[in-house]
Amino acid sequence: MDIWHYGFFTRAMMAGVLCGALCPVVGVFLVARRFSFFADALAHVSLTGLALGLVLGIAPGITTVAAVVLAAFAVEWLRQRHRFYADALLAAVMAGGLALGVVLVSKSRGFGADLTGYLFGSLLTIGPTDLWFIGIIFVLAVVAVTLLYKGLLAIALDEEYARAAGLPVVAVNAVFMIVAALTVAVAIRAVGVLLAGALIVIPVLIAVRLTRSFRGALLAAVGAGVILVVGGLHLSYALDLPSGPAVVLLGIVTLIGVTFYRRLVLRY
Amino acid sequence: MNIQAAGDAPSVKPPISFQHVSLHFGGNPVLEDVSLDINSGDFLAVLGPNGSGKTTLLKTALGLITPTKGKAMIFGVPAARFRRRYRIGYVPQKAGVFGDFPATVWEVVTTGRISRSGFLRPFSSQDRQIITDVLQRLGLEHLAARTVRSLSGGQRQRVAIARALVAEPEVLLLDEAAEGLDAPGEDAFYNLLAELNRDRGLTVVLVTHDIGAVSLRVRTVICLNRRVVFSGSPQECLENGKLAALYGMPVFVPSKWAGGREMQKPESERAY
Repeated sequence: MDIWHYGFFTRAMMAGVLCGALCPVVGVFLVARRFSFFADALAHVSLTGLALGLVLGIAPGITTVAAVVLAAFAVEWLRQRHRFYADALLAAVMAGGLALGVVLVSKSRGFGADLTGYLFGSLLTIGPTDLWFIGIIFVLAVVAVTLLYKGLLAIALDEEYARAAGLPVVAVNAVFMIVAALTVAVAIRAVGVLLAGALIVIPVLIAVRLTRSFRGALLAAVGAGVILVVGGLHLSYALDLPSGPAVVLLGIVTLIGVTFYRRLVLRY
Repeated sequence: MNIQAAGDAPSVKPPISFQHVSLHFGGNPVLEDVSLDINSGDFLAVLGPNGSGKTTLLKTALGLITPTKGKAMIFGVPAARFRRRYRIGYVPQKAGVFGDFPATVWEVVTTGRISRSGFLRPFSSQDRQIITDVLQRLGLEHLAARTVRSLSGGQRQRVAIARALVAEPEVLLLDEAAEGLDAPGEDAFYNLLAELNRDRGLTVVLVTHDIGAVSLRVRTVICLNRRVVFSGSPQECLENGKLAALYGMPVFVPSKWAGGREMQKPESERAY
């Protein structure tokens, strides 16, 4: 039977395409700023948000998004004050978020069977509500990035220059942090906490090996993200693999292939 | 001489003005009681050894750093509150690097136009024409579609200047912008600045520790060592032993740069 006849697969594919297109849009600006671990740090903090929801009896989706957005602002605040230790701060936030999450989970009794899906994603179990959530975040993020593109580009290329030129760097960064945090929340739903950063960064790494402009890298990364998610889902179905790891492993293989292609064929 | 004591300023507000500016980082003084006015049309070099506060002076002038004491003004407005930033062009230290992420010369240079064109508004045909004109003027038009990371150091430096110029500034502040260029590249770079100053009336403020390369071109030299220890013409600076006092050791300036005057020291005492 054709897999497209299954509602769960159609929903998974629609959500996957939206995730695959959205994650690299944020990823391009993070990689250009040399801040790639930001997504991973937020993803780990999301465990704290989820556990808080379970402990307090609030819908975990709400506490997760709240925790990730708060963490995004905290990380940006710390980055502005401790530029030279930005990567170390991300490592500390990542570990702290995970540790606090595990402590809280140990005090709650509601996690159990969902843990694997949370850690590695569960696109194939996405329901209509999740799909709406992902769709709304996709539209918001695309509108925000389109409107702020000039400023985001200037900041990504040279933040100090953007400040000197009087661009509203703080405001642009604040909006970008919200967009990035919501994107991480979407990526967690698709590939899980442990692999969310990969879906945000790997398509960008593939794109920069094939393009020669920022706009080109952005568009190519979006294309790569969609192809990886669609391909990974098909692999997952065909080979009976967990969907998140299938998407990420396909991305890694593609990245290695593109790197060799550039070195051996394009020779640059 | 264009440097004036603060308080003697003419009726037109000077582009950059420092009034008794002091700045401390972690309790350590970086600038102490600096007062100076930089007037329109000047071509000025700020000299000083490492750690003398040159870059801090520039960033304070841009409003990126707030003084601990005193006032830094841009066109008569406190630097931190100055809004029409397009009037001040800035070429930061290591501006030629731009990271390894792929970005074309056109993309990088257009970011300099945002302060003039508006943040949310798309670039107009006039904006694009001005960007094209600047690229042509700096000999970069044939490189517009190239990635910046594929360019030479000299070409990247011109990209950084082009990015500052597309905002049509009245003042250009450059922070050790010639560092890393070879001799011909450095020569072309200083000639370009002199040409912009002469033809467009652009006020140029150059932070550097390369007295030899600038002494034939700039009209004014400020020697900075946390305080302004000298301001005057390059000739006065070279003749009066100001450089030796500034650097705390004898300074050799090749006779080519010293306008034919030999200021040679014994080899063992030379510093460049």
